[in-house]
Amino acid sequence: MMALMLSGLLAASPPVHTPTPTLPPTVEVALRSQDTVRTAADWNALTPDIRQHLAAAVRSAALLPSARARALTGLWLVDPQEARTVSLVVAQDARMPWALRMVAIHRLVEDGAAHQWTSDATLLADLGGTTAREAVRAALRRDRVAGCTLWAGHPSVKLSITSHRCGVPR
Amino acid sequence: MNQSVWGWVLVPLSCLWVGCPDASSNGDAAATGPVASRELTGDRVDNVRPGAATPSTRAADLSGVPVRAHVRQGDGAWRTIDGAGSNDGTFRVSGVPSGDVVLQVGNQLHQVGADTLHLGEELWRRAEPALPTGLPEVCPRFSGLLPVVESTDSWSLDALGVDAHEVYALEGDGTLNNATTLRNICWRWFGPYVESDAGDRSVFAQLRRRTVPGGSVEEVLAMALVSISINRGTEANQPVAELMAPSADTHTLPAVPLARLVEAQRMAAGRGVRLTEVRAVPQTWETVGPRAGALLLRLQHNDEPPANTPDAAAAVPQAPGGFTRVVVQKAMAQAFLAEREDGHVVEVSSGLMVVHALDAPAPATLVDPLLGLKVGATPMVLPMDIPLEVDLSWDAFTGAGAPTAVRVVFHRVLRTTRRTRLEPAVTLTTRGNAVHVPAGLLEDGADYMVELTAVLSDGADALANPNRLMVPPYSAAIVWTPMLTARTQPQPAPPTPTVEVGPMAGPVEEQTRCSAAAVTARAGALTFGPTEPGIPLGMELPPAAGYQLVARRLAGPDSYNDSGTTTGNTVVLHEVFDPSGTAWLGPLGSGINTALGVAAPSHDEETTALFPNTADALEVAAGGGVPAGLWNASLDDGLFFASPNDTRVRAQELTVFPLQRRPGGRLDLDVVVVANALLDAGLDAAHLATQANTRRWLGRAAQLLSTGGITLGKVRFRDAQPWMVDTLSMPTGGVPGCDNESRLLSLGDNPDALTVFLVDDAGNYLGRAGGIPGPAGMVGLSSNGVVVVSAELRFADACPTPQSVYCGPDVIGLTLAHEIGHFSGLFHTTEINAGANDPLTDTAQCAARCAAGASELSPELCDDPGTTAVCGGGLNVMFPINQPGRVEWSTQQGEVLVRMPLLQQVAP
Repeated sequence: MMALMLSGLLAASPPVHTPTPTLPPTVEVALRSQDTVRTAADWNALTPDIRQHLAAAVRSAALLPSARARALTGLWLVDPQEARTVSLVVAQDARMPWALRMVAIHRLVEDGAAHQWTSDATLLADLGGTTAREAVRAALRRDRVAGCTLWAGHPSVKLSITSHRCGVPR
Repeated sequence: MNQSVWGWVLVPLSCLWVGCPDASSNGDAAATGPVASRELTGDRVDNVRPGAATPSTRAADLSGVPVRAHVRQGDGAWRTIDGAGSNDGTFRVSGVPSGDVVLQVGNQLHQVGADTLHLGEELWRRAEPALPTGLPEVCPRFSGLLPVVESTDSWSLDALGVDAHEVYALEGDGTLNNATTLRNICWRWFGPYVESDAGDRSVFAQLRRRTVPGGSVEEVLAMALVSISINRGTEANQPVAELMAPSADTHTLPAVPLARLVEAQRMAAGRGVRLTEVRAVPQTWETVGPRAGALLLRLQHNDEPPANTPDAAAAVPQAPGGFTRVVVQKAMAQAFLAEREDGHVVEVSSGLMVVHALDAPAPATLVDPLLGLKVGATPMVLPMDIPLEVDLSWDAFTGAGAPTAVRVVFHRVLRTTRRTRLEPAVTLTTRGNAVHVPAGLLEDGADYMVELTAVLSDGADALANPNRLMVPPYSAAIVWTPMLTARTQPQPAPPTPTVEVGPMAGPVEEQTRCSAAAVTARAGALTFGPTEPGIPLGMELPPAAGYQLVARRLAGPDSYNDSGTTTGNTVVLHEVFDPSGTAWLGPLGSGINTALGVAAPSHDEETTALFPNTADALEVAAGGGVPAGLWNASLDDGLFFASPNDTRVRAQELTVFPLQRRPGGRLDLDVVVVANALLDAGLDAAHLATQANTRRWLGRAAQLLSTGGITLGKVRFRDAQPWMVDTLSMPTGGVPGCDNESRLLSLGDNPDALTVFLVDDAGNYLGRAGGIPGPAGMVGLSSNGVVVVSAELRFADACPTPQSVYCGPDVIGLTLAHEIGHFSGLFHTTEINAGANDPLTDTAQCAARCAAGASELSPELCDDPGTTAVCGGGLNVMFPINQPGRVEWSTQQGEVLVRMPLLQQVAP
């Protein structure tokens, strides 16, 4: 029975690349551009409601993780506040692709507003595990002193660069 | 896998098309030639099953349809015997010798396992109802009707290539055109659906035809509806009747739900039931990251009373029963997750949904995509070409039970400007593990995907009823191949790259410079200088097929202050003259495009140029050749132009590589694993080198490069030093003049290979070359190598199903080939904003944006192959958008590729 179902549905579902249905073609294509660096103006030129489409793309499991990560990066360019909201959800959702979560963590810490990024980094570091590691790593990229402080408060984080950068072997 | 029944069987060549299980009955004939004559007869009469009612029959008209027997002779050649079909669905071929015979009726072929074949299908659909006689009867509430067919603008129904009679009416204001505000659409129940679009036009109608798949009603509908809940959490618990109510607001509904609902309604109708209500279970859906949830479907069966299910009643107590609960599992794009509950699961992966009913025996695990497939006697390495007359065999078919037959369908891949679809082109049925496709059925240059269906259960003679294999008592396991291209002269499969694991890459201690302390060049490089900005440099160059010039900074600031902004101090190679005084770059002030060459610095520490990489320069090279002798070059930097009076000491050096043309030359890669996501998944260099994903992306890159004249040779996987992973796995940001990407690229240490850095993310691209061209053959420079984002490689099942035709590793493979193209000196055929084309004349361009109102290119708008008109290039590897089907290099591109300094001569 299962195999019968499988056969029929496969026959009806051509295994070909199909755009994500809810994204405008221009956005879907932009997420597949090979090596074109896009600015906020580039994204905004695609469609007036680009921010909602980028947010939808981040959530879309039909897209490859790299495309979702690119959408998140684009969202940080066009609407940092919305991007922060989405990134916080993504960064804490263990079911999301790890590559996407990593981008969310790094964008939160590296691109976050001055009054927010340290608290966001601490929130993420408190989650422990690889999330904490990425939060510390991103913090060290943005601000060595703040990064070292965060690292000091999360002794489980092991990074090869901290003893060198923070001057304290662990 | 049941190897005892259908295991890894080695296929003798004599069994190549006929199944070895049958060989005992006809093997002698194959060896000695036909010994007797017989007649093949049969019919094609379909059973039409309208739900639970008694099936009716429908005979196909076979008059004029090709009917012939392909007979294999003793010498292995194939002879054709013509037969005839008639309008009552019967056919006959006389004078057929015993032995290996393939019967052809239309585009279907069958291994002859019986002298009488019944080729009819089981059609699980209701007879179509009589059309209503008038519009008011169908759309009684409509007013302000618009003409449906007569419009000639871009979205007229005729222009969309659909049967217009299936839409009854459009309701709106004014004349039908792109500015029309559409209030409603009235569509025919059994016809295609209509969707509206909230784009810049107020309405856009597009009709599509979809076939009704097999499977139970619930499963089919779940497949059709699943995207509602995934994409539109806000619609949870919204009755379908409300969504579909013909009101003034209908056209404002999001396109997908409306389309999906209509699709589901249509599917339901085609299967003899009415879908009366759909509800998503709201608490299981989240705004971000939903994984699973349930759809409740209420069906009204035409031929039987609605079924009540305990689940439905429990989940929606307010509903009066009649729901079927279908659990929907949304897989991550690259994972193939499944949650099994209540007998159903829907798996979603990269847009492909597969519905399983779990009350059946455990499914045959989706099998290895290659199955030991062979073309002739050669193992199939995908993607690849196949000949127009092809022998296809396979080693094994995973699954329980003894296969009764295997059906092989060659689906033609058809690309239109809007989408890609498959159309069955050739169907074959065999009892063995090999098939033969005679000449004349596959089209030269066409793309195909092959579907193999193993019929696992026994019962009636499968070979005598080859088109009823999909209905009980049969069950099946299916596998799809990736895309194949049929060619008169198949290109040989590229050699499989040799994969090995090498020592760790990079210095042990963290480096903050953008160029290594020691810069190394391959043997044969010539060094000139040092010199200072603005002072010409003479170079005596030997005869060669071209030259690669690398200008780099030996001393001087990485950046300077330009009107208050810290700016990278980019090294510039701005004037290069050959011995005759012809400018290959520059001259200064005239714009580089007036010269024979083009160089595009992308990192600050050095600039590379390759002669020839333009149409003009290639013409010179093909004529008298790139002249040898005394060349002159001027090296500068940004500071020289911004502050001519700056007295700081600067020194620069020029390294020149005389080039050889090496078609088919071997390129080795050093792949350095810098990605934390891979390491977190246990995929260090040693493990990554053994992954199926790795074989797939390397294989795809090798295939693409081979068509451009480059043979991918040895691929050495290496771990990065821990500090590199900690600081450079996302090589974005950094300081002007020394960004993190430059730091990373400077860490390659093998001058004989191209270094590929696998990183987590690079901000805004899938891959990036150090330069156009890059300094091939030199290491320690800030533009040495390519960066490739590896997010798709984390999962062992990144290509989750055999039918995954373009999944994560394929993206990586194409990205790698594309970036190697840049590194070799090739530009995008057309930049994504259509603002510039490459400096070649035989690559198709897409210069005019190819569609009114489009701000950027799209593959669909640039997929006119083989033309240099305004809308081509979409199939070129150097097109700026990653998509399946990009397989082409132009002749001029190939001439640039085969001059890459890293290519090694391959022994004949």
